[in-house]
Amino acid sequence: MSQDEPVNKHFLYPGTIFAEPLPHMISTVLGSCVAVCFWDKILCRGGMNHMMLPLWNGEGLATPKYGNIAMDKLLARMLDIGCRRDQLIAKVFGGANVSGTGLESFMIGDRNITLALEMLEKFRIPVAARDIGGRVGRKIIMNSATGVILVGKGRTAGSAG
Amino acid sequence: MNLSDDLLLRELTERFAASRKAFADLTVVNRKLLEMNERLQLSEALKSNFLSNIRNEINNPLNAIMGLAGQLVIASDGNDGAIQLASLIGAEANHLDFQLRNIFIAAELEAGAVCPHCVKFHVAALLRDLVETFQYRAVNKNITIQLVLPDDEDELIAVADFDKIQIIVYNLLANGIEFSHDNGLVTVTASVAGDGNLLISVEDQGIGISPEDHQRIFDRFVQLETGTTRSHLGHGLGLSITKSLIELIEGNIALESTPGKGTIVTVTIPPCSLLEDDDSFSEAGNLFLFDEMSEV
Repeated sequence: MSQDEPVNKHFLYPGTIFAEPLPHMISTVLGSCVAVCFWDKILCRGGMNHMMLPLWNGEGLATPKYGNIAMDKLLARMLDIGCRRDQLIAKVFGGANVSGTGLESFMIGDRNITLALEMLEKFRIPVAARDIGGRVGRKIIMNSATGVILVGKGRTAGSAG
Repeated sequence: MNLSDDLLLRELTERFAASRKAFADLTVVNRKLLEMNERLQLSEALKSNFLSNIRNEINNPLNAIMGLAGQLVIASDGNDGAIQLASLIGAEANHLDFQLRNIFIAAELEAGAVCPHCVKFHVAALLRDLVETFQYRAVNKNITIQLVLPDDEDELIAVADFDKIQIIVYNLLANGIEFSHDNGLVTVTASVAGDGNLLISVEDQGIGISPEDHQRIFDRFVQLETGTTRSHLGHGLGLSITKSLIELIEGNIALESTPGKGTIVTVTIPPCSLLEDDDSFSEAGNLFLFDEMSEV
């Protein structure tokens, strides 16, 4: 890791969103959850969400635990901190099938990925990198100032979000 | 049926025209739905912005009222009537303060800005404080609040999210008292299970909830009794907030209820694996090993 790594660190809990003007190392751990990282390539500011389920069903609180809410809210947050939509690129991670079953109703990872990619297409934000699907969990660390993301893959299936 | 080519052609043209019209109608409906959806999203966003803007506008005067009510009790110097009135102002202001905290935490949860924050604290002390806060409302309905703690209260020193648990138990207690009959009994029980989980339950002997409503009560703005004649107070956010907060701290909520007999709500809260440290990378969620990190 480089010398000029930001000192501010933030661990992103499942179902939350993080995007701040100051440089941060944002880390999170993913199983079937999907994290979408946005980065403004001109302003050099980034943010991340961490969705656990694809769609909010209108019940309970409309929290960013749900993909459609998380994508909208992260984009809004990025615009709040001064980013421009046409300068944004996206990187998508997670969505593993950690339980190892092939049952359609349990393929939450796949459904999260589909939702995230569809919404990015709708937003017209290009996907610059992705590491999605598979059987193993991931840990990602994003440098919000450079947009560089480190990805670690689990040896075995994990139980994290 | 024999149709001439002309007739067949006309028939087909008409059918195509009809299907084109149906398609156009559907497109219009679809566009209207999309517009409606955008407006809904906009109003959700407006609501969130409004809440964060008014936060200080409301909190500052309210804090002044609570503080001054406290001072008034002291300054009343033995005048019983004045002390009672000042305590009442304090108690009502406290209740309002808590309802506002509920609304603001709902807004924060929806903004994805609420993180778990673990501290070491005495659960017994927290529960005593909460029961004390509710005494005034319980007295109005002549309800007894009973606190059942283990013999050795030091078992209840927990490392967990104090603020979230406070809001959770407050909401459960508020419901327990609101839906109890007059002269009822509300029991708050706390214990630590063998696996280290903290168990807190709130039991009432009130109106109960029928099984088909067990899931629905966690939806936001849902109150089983609606309309202007409803006899129970509240904004219908309490349990949806409770559920979201419990999910955040990776706990569990269980409901046992018989209509007419009462309700027991039990929350299970797992211990935090570490104390919050400003400098730590908070790797608590790191449940598996990573061979190597690659750059993307």
